[in-house]
Amino acid sequence: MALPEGAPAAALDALPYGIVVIDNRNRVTYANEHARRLAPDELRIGESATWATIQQPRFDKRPRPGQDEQDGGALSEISAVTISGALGGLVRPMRVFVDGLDDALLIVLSPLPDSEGRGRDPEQLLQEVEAVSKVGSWSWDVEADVVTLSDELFRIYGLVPQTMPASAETVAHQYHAEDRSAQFDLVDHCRRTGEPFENTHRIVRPDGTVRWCQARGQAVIEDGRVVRIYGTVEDITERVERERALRLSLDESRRLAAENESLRHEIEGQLSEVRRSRSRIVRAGYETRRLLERDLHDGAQQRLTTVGLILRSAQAQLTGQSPPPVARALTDALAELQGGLSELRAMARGLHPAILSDEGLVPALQALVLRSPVPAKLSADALARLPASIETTAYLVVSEALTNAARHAAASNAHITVEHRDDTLLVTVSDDGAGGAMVEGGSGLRVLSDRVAALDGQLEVDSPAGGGTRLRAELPCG
Amino acid sequence: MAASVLIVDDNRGFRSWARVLLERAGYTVAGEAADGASAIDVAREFSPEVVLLDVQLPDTDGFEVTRRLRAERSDLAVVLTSTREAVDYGAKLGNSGAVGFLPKDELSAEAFAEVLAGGRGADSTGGATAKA
Repeated sequence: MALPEGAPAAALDALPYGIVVIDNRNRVTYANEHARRLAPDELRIGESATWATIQQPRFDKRPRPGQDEQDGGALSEISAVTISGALGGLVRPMRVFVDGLDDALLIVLSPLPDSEGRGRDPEQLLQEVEAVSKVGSWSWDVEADVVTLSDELFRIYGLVPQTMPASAETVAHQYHAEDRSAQFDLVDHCRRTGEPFENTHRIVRPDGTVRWCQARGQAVIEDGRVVRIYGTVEDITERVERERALRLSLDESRRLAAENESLRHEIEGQLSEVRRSRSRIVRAGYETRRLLERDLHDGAQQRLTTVGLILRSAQAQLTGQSPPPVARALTDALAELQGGLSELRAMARGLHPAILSDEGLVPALQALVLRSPVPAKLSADALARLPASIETTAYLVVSEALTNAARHAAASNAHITVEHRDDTLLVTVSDDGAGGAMVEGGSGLRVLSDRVAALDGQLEVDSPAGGGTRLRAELPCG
Repeated sequence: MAASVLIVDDNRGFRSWARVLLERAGYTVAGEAADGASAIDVAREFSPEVVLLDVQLPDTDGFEVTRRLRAERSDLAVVLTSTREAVDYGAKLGNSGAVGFLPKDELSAEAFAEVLAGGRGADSTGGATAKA
């Protein structure tokens, strides 16, 4: 196959690829300028192409359908030639065509890339770039209705490159059923208006896996008509999944944050209710103690006091003639009764001193100091009446401190101060005893501390061994 | 001469046996009352010289009754009594105007006479702890 007469030799010489024609006797019959420049020594017209090795029969003299033998232009693309020798280090066959009638070869030679990648086959380069970036490309010649799909696009669709017809149907078949019509509408809109498009859609691979793709396309417009649309398809499944995971994670974080906030409110509410109920329980306890004291006073103490009165009355009637055992029995009975009444009175006062309700904290503490087993001094502000629970707790702090000072610390002196500052009652009891008292020590201090805390107050105990004890209670009165 | 006494207490048993105790010792019990209002009325009616008056009354307390009685008759001697001790009333006793305080479980003709004679004060350090 030599170039026919009138062939555009100048145009062929201007191509960026080498074109070589080898006849059926393996002689070089044509080489364009680019080819001659690539290998001036090997590509001499009329010389044998010893550098070309034909790997499969090149004889196929059947004309293509629609062509007759006189046509003489039927070329079939084959991959039948490898380049060897010195030329093999310079070029590679990019496309090889065989002339079905003349049995001649037309080889398009591409220069091999040098170490810096110069001269690489742009098509190959594009394929490599597409494979790495997972971006496929396509083109639709609108007028000829010819579709071209890149190898990577096939791979994105889960297909072996170029094993399916490059057609709109092939592409349509890959679309997810729910996204198919929208995709067609998009391309059709581009065809009618020439406007570029971009969207995200799903495809379904032959193995059933669903992938997310981002499509971009734009039109080539000539004379006001869209003649070609081309575009890219990028597999963004990983990104979509990452974004979805991130979104789920964010949603989960928001949900957890909202749940935490809700729990926090709930716990704060419960804590607040626990505080209120603890305070109510303490106040109810105080009220119970007060009622018990009153019941003892109005009931048992009154009756026993009257019994004492009767016995003393009987005792007064005894004369010198009365049997001595009777007089002794009356005396013993009165002594026992007196002891019992004293114990009962102490118990009633321990439950709730009446003077606290009747007169308030300072008079009650003055009375307490008078009865204290440890000599005690009271320094107190003149106080207005405070809530009963505050007065009772403050009283119990002093009472417990004085009891401990006598019973456990062998103190010889105690000092009590009561101040009302900034709506807080401050009660301090100091003694000069042995110290070593602890709230956790299992003594009444634990109960005392709980009582103070129930009113949102604080009890501090400073009691170094051998250094006396100082109790300080802060009770908010607001 | 033994004085006439008005006994004021809401406990009937106490009133009865206090009456027995005092009458046996030669006192004249001019009357009894179970609450503060009755005490005022009976005191007006019978003009006793002494009132044995319980601090805890159903309608008021002994301190208030003392104040009102003595407001009407400043020569009236009031002896306050209670099942509680004097210390339980703090300074109120000393300021009450009563001649003295006698715990109920110490009530006897002798103790009563002692209080009336001024041997027992009506201040907070008196009563059981200052028995002569």
